[in-house]
Amino acid sequence: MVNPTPSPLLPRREFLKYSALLPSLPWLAAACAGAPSRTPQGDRTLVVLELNGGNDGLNTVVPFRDEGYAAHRKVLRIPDDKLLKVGQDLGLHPSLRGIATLHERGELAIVQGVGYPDPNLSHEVSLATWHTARLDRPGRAGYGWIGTALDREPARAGQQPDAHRAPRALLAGPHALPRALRARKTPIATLPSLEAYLEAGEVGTDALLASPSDSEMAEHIRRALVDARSTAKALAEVADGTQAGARYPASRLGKDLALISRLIRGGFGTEVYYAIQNGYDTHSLQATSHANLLQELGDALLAFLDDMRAIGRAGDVLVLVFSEFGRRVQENASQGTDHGTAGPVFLAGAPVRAGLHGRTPSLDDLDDGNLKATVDFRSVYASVLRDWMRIDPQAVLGEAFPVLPLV
Amino acid sequence: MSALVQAAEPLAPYVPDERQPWNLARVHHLHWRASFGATWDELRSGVERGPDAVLTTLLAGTRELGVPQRASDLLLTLQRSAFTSASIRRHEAVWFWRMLLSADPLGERLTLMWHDHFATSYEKVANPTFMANQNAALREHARGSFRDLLPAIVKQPALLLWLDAPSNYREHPNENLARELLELFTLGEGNYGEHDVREVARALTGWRIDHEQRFWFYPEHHDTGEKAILGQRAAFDGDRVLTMLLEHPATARRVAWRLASTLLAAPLVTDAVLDAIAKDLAATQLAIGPAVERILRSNVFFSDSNLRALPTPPAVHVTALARALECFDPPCRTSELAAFSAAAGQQPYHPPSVFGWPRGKDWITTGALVARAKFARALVSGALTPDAAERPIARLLRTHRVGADAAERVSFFCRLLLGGEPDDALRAGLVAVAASQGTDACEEMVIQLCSSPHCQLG
Repeated sequence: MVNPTPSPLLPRREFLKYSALLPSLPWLAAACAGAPSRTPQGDRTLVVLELNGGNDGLNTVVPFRDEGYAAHRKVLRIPDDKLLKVGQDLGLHPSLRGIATLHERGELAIVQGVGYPDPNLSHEVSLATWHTARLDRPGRAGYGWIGTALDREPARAGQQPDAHRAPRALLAGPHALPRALRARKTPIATLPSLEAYLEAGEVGTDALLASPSDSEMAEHIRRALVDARSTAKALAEVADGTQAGARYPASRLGKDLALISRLIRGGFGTEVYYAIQNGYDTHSLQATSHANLLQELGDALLAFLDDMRAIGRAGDVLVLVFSEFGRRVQENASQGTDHGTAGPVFLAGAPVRAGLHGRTPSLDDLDDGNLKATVDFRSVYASVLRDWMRIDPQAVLGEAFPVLPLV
Repeated sequence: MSALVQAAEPLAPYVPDERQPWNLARVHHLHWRASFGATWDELRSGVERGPDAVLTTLLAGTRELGVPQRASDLLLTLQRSAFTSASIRRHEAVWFWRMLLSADPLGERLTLMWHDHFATSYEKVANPTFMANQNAALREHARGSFRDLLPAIVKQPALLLWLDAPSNYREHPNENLARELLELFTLGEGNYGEHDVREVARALTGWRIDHEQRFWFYPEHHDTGEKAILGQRAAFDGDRVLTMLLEHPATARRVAWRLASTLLAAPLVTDAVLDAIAKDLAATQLAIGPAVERILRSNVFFSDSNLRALPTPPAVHVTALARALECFDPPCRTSELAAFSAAAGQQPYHPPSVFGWPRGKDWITTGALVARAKFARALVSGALTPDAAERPIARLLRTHRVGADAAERVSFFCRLLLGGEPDDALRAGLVAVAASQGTDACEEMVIQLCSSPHCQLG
């Protein structure tokens, strides 16, 4: 057994340490008092990981027995014997050793062929579709599926709506806010780095931010400043002494997941964390860059889930990994691939119902050179919403989708 | 009545009247929306000179106020060192220098706008000189004709590398450049199909970079066959595709949208406004400068609902604050302006993706606001002007003869930074901060003002 023994006492002990240092903070007192009675559900955390640029699903989860694979991938084909087999007909890219380890432990669900009807091959449109779970133009310009879910659900027990509350969703890393996190009223934070907040000094004053602003835009900014202030205060309390226990890779994603871990182990109480790995738009010379990206992905994800296990939170954390589309089945002449359609989605963590879900699209039956989706991504969302976040999927997604047994 | 007039003539010229007087608020608005902020002297003289004179200076790019004598010499030195060192950081510092001190700040705003339109990132191009050359081309054509701008930028090595054009062979065209050409640079989403993307990619085969790292067309790599693009069949090559796209009405409309959404608050970017600008553009061979002038001289630009209604992009925010607080003589560390702009979400030469930067409300995230607050603290404390004899606020109070009274100081800085007196809540909050600081300076009050919701708007 490679994994260290879970030590569920650790976070609680850290909590008590902080409460001794900072006895006057109401949210902390409430969180500590509430801790023993918190239901397991109350600690559930979702981590969404976006593979930005359109991940080549065909070279991520490879259907090596499909004759079409070798036929369409002359240069980019990964030989059978290099693949990390995850079933009779499927193998993971050799750089995904981290994810293969999760598969061996029963902590990985692979949903094959995930997409949506009438796929759009623009990054922006397809990302907006995944972010909002809406296929119509006005819908795609609206709030995100996570923002909408949190808008509908009251903050869970232990979250105090006061000046020290943690945001309910948080983007880790120096990225623009993904549309998925756009909410009508729920506090959402972006955290380029911990230092960014800690070194900023006082951001606004309570008096200056007390009364609503006259214009809609100023009011939007005022509310974001209030969220920034409370996030800064909440962060100051988890900043000391909560270094990640596990060793994370030095990659951007490794840093961002280490930051998320630090917040989780500090008892931050955010319900949804979001991380982004850029670089998947591999139009040319794909082999090396894609291998590097997947290496970073697998290593960072394994480190993160090992870390969650080490602090006794393995059962509370579910990771959803998606990309806005897969890539064209036929490689291009630049040793790369152009924009495509359906691709695999990963769910990772102890809570998942491990194994393969959905049906791998056939490489014989293409739609203008692209894979035909076999699972609607909104079915994946519906499963996560219903079975993990305990939120009515139909209320968030606008219509009913079949729920898959993923969690 | 006025609604009817607007409907009939959406870009009717602005004529000051009692309801929409030419005042400090409108001078401030013009400088923060279409320039990179203004000093107190620029604001005051702007009110006196009137809209026509101020607009003429801005449109002609002949700013003199608040441009130190040696600014252009220093720019040359900075620029030489940037090209010699081949460092993208130095090129960033050079650009911020231009934004802060150029005689043509509108030209720099438009250059930044086109950089967003043709978003190309050093992260992939990895060649500082290519990026700097692209920047020079954007500036050269910023208010020229889009008919010249498009080919000039699309044929720059920076953009060709960014969109994988060098690996665009006859046997297997690469769709990256073709797709972004249609979706982002010209027609916009919904005006073409997947088939068009594939056919345009074929037409673009042979566009490469030669051994001297210049654009070159290689006939041997070009697919000479017939292509069907936007309903027309011909043996299109890249240049013919560009010509066809430039003549397409959707391109004029998309350029109109780019200009309007840069200069007008989102609710004012109506179909009627876009139609009017697009019509002008179509009639003038897509001349950008006149279209910009028409918007800037319009009633809708100076209407109340356009005043302080758009979040200021980070590059503009940091530069405008440095300018308003006169942190430029002795010179400001513009590399620091670049770094703070990056922390707030906008690092020129490094747009996050082909779609460029966020717009409007999307600039406002908690992380970005924290970064803006951190910047205000650094700027006000003099960290960006270490060679100055005096800290910025003390110097401003002295040179503009602002008294020691907290209320008077709050009033001065609100007029300087917001273009008007604060509302009661803001005034009370700021006076409380200033009063608690004593009389020697009021730095914390200015920091809080710079970080306030109002000061993120321009």
